Amino acid sequence: MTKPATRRIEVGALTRVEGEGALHVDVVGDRVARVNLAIYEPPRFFEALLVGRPLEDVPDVTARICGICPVAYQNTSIFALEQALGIEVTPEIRQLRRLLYCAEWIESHVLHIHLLNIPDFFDSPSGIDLAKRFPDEVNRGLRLKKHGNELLEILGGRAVHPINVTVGGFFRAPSRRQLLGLIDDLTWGLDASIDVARWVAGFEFPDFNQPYEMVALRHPTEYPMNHGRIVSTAGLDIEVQQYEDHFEERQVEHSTALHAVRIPEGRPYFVGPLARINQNLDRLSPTARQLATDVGITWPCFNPYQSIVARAIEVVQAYDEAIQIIKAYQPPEVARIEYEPREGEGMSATEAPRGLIFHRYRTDEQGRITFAKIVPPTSQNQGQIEWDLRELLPDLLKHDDPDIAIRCEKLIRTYDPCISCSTHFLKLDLKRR
Amino acid sequence: MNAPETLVAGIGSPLGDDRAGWLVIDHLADIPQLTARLRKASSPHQLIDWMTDARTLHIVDACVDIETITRIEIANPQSSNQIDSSLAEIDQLSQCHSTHHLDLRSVIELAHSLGKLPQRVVLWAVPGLYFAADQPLSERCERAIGRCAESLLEEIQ
Repeated sequence: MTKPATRRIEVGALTRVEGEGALHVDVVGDRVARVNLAIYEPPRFFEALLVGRPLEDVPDVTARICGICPVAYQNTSIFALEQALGIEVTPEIRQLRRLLYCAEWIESHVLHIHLLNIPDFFDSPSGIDLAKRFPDEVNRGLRLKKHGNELLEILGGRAVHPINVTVGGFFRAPSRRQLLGLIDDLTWGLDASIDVARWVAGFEFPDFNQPYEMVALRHPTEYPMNHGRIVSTAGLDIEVQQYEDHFEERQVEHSTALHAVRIPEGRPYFVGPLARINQNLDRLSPTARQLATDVGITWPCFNPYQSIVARAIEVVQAYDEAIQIIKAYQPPEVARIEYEPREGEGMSATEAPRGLIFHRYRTDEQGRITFAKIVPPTSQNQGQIEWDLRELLPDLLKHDDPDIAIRCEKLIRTYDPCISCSTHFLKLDLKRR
Repeated sequence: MNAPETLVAGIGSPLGDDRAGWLVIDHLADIPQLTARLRKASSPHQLIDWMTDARTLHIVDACVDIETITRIEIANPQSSNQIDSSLAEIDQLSQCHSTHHLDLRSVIELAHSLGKLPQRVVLWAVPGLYFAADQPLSERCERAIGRCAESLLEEIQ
């Protein structure tokens, strides 16, 4: 009997993703035998680094996990520690934190939309090549990104790895004048971001609807950023404290990043902008909600390629909300709530640009960290990405290997994976047998 | 008010010799009546916002694997041939490309694609040895910073 032909497709280094990873695919005959999204960045051991340190160090260390979404890492750790310490912050501090998330969503989403993801819809090899073809649109994107960075600088002290945030609040609250100085730019940005969303919604999307379980936060009144219950499109509705009863990180041989799965079934799940909008359409601002209706997508949407539209709508949401917060802003009388260290445990889940993020910490009576757990969005999406590729690949096998590699990378990029964050770029290795 | 003709941007960080770009700016800031605009950047992407206002852009950055100050001039950035050969020179200086932000080469290429590059761009690469936290300036880098500031001053005054 003739042995089936073997084909191995390898993407040695994924491009236009944050971090470094590879894709190895083995095909036996017309069957996809193995799909491994291999994250080979060395583990960074952030949790171990935190144990034994005073809790005040945690926000500065967790911010270093990512240069694109430090706010989410920093604030999730802060919220968890505040729970451990029994700290209740004022509504004014809470609003400033929400504004910080708006800033990060703007700069992170706009970067991914314009320089990493849009090139895929024009078969453009890079954001730089796209800039030659669409200079006005890319210039507009850079201007929008700048707004996010400026807002981060005012609130966080600097645009990357903010230093002004701390357990209990902020070291220094911005002045009303500082924030109002951004209003003209943000108002322009709101209109421009609506144009971006309309533009990307008109792209041609591959037909790839899948039966995902999408997981996101849901808040009684707000679009989810920094608080809420954890809900899913499969009916899950739990408190953040129950997260570890329903989700588990598992080690896999081919990756330095852990894979999070739903338990007990061990199945993958999907986090990110699409998961958020699917379950929070009614929580969008009137402008963003109207836009979501106008762009012609039927919600809930289960096509990952349309994540770019969800991401663009969230940019509108972030601008809209940032403007409202700034207009109503009065500097808080107390920028930081004082606390006494104590033994305790706390956990928090917030929404990073790339999806749900979960942190849990324990402190001793001196306020030193005795336990730390950090579950980033990309480690939650990795299993789902591999599952997606197994679904996608059978239809791609008629193509040559380089073409398959490009199509796989395009699907991976829809998730806006941040590989460095999850370890704690893609290389496709496809073997056909 | 007319935009200054010349912008000098030093790229750096507080880590060892990586502060070379910032220290060259500090040297120039001490020169009275200097008409050039001076900026310190912590990431190359910041240059895109600043460069549109300048006719000449000098970029100062620390670089590993070079022995002496290396000067690369992009005299006519609107020309594709010129930009390609200049980018190739920059590639020879550094193979280090970041995935988390735009590196200097990508920023120059992107600015060129967007038609934002000033008429003249000069890159000054200062030799560095140590780039880790808590490391002091190396003697070689310290000497090169002074020489780079002097050479730059001769060009811009």
